[in-house]
Amino acid sequence: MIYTVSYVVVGGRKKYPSGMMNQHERPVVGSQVQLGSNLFEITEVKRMLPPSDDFEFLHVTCTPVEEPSDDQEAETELA
Amino acid sequence: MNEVKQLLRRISLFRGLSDDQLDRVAQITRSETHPADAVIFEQDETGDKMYLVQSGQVEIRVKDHAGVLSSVLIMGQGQIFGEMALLDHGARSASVVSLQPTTLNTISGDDFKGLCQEDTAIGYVMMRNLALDLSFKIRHQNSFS
Repeated sequence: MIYTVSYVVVGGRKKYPSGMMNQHERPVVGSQVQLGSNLFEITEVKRMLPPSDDFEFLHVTCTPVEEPSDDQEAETELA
Repeated sequence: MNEVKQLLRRISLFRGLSDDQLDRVAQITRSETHPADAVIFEQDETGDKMYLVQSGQVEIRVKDHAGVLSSVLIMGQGQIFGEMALLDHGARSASVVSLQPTTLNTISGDDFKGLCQEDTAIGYVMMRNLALDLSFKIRHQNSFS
């Protein structure tokens, strides 16, 4: 099966572009995806269209994975 | 040729085509590679070919009426772009830039139309799949509203 996936970043259309790609692995909630230079965590996976031949069409919502700042890292170490 | 056929099998535009039909499509497919940050085409240019992403990622950028450029979409492996100009002969609706080293396969408008006219069975399947691909893109766009 090939998954044709529409990726949308929650609340981030102006800051983050959405994405589209074909992949062999079905996206799963909690996994991460790289779109351009940004990393996102998948929060929801829905079927967009019924499967056709060997293709399944999915809609995925995701949130940015924030890189910890130096200050945050220092706070984490202190905690 | 086999490598191109393997790529074509992973693209929904070509689903439903037989092995022989994929051979014919592969014959009109050309490959091009781009480094990161290369402009594939610019918004408002005239275009005469569509692109299939074999590897890498490209960014779709749209300039609004005020001239402000926005990144709206990132496309990865197996996606097609530039197909609108092939169908309606209009100007490119967006600019496309490679985000990383990217290999694209292209099909020219003349070759595409020639193949569809020569072999109407291929033409029917590809036109149907093109309509489905545009439907997928519209549904993706609608998810923002």
